[in-house]
Amino acid sequence: MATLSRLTLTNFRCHAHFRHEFSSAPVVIWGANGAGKTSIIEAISLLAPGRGLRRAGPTEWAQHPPHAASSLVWGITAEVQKKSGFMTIATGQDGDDDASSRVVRVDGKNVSQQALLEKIAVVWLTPDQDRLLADTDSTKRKFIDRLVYGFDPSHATRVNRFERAMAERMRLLRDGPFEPAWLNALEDQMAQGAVAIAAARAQMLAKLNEMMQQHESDFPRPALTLMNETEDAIQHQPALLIEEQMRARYADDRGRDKAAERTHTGPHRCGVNVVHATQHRAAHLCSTGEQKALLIRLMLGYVALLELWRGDAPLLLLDDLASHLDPARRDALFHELRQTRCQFWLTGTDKDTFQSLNPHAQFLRL
Amino acid sequence: MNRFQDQSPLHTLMHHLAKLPGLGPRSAQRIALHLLKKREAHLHPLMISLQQVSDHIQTCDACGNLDTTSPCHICADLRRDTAQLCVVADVADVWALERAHIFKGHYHVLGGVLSALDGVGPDDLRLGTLRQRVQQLGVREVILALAATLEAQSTAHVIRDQLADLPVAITRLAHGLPVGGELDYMDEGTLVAALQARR
Ligand SMILES: [Zn+2]
Repeated sequence: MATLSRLTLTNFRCHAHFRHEFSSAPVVIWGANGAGKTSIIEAISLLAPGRGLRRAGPTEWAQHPPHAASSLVWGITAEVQKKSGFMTIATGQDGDDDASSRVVRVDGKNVSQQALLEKIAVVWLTPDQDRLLADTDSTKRKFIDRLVYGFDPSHATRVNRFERAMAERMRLLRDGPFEPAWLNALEDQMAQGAVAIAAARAQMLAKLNEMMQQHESDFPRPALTLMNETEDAIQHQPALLIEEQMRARYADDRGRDKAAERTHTGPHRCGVNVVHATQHRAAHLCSTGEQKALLIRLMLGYVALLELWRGDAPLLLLDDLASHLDPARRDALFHELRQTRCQFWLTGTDKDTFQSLNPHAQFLRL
Repeated sequence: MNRFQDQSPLHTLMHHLAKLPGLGPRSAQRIALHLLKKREAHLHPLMISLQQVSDHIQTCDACGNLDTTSPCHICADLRRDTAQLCVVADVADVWALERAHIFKGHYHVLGGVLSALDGVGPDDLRLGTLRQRVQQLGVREVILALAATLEAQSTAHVIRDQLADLPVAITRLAHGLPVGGELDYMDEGTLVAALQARR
C-alpha cells in the first residue's frame, strides 16, 4: 500500500506553512468550517494530474496577501512510502515566471503531470459529487475516464490527442485550407483514438462491474453501461474493422459536421447509463442519499480493483462524507474502508462522528 | 509602470526577451539586469554574437538547414548519399541526427509541422519543394523522422500522400520514442536504434 508519511504545504490556500507526519492508519482531519481541512486533502489530490478535488487552478491555490502585488509561490511536498520504496513528490509553481501552471517533481526530477499516474493513485469523493451518477453524460464520461487513468495512464494522453485531432479537423472544415490528405490524416488518427478509448473504457467498466458483483457490501450496487456505438461495437467486432468504419464515417460526415460545427460521432459522445442493480431503477430516479450510497459502492469497488491491478492501494480522500450518512451506514462505511488497504483521509466538523474509528485512526485537529 | 519606464530602452529589451520561448516577464527582467551588471562579460559578447548571426547565418535554399552558406555544408558535400532523404521538422533535429553520426544522406527541413489550430498550413512548411528534390536528387528512400505527436503524424500522412506516385520508398523511424517526444530530446543510442529499425 501507499502511505503518505509526511505532508508539507507552503502558501497553499490558507496554509502559509503546514507540516505533519502520518502513519499508515486512517487520518481524520476535524475542526470548524473554514479551518482549512478540505485544503489539506485538496493538496493531496494534486498528487494526481489535473485540477484537484475542488477543480481549481493556481490562482486559487496560491496565497495572495492583501497588499502584495502578486501571489506567493506555493508548493506541496509529500513523502510517500510504497512497497517498492520511498519517494518524494512535489508540486507547485515553478520559480517566478509562470504562475499559471504547476510543475511536478518526483525525487527532485521534473516530470509531466501525467507521469504521476504511474507513481501513485489518488481517489477522492466530495460532497460536490453526491449527484454525479445522475449528472450529465459529459460529467459522467469525464468521471469514467478518470477511473480509467488509474489503470492505464496513457488513456489521458489518448483522450487529449483525440480531442485535439477533433479540434484540428473542425478548424480545417471551418476555415480551410481544404486539403484532403490532411483531413484524412486527422480522421485516421481520430478513428484509431476512438477505438482505443472505447476499448479502454469498456474494459475498465467490465472489470469494475465484475468486482462490485463479487464483493459483499452494505452499500447498494450500481450497474454501469456505456451508451455509444463504438463502445458497443468493440465488445463483438475486431478493432481494425471498427476503425475502418469510423474513418469512412468521418469522411462522410464532413459536410454535416461542418454545418453543425460539431463532430457527430466519437468517444466524446459516449453516454453512461447507471442503474441501481437490485432495484433496477435508473440512478437519476433514486434519492440523493441513495445515489450517494451507489457512488460509495462504486468507489469501494474501484479501490479494490486498483489494489488488484496496480499492486498497491490508492490514497483515498473522503471530504465531509460521514456527516451526511446515518450512524449505521457511517459505521458500515468505516468498517468497509478498514477492509481496504488504503490510507484513507476523512474530514468533518464533529469528532464524535468518527467515534467508531477512534482506536484505529490518527486525529488531526485544525 | 510610469511613462519613463514604458519608453526606456531597458523596458523594450525586457519586452523582447519576455517574448522568447521559455521566458516570461520575470526571467526577462532577471536576464536584462544581469546583462547590464556584466556588460563586459556577457552584454558585449552577446551583442557581437547576435550581429554575426544576423549577418551570416542563412537558411539553405535547398534543404532548409541553417548555415553560413547556401547551399549548406551538408547539401554541398558530394560524399553524402543522394539516394536517402531524411525529412525532419526542425533544424534541431538535423543537429540531433548529425550528432549520432549514423545518417549519411541528405536532409529536408520542413520548418515545423501542420497545425490547423496554430495556423500552420502546407504553404507555411517546406512541403512544395520536397517532391521536386526527391526527383532531382534521384532519392530512393524518404525517411520521415517526425515525432509521434498528432501534428507530426498528420504531416507525415500528407507527405506520404504527396509522394505516393513516385518510385520511392517511404519509411519512418521506429517509434520507441514517447508519444509527443521530439527527436532533439532523444539520446544518441535511441536515435541510432530508431533509425536502424525504420520501416
Ligand atoms: Zn542544405
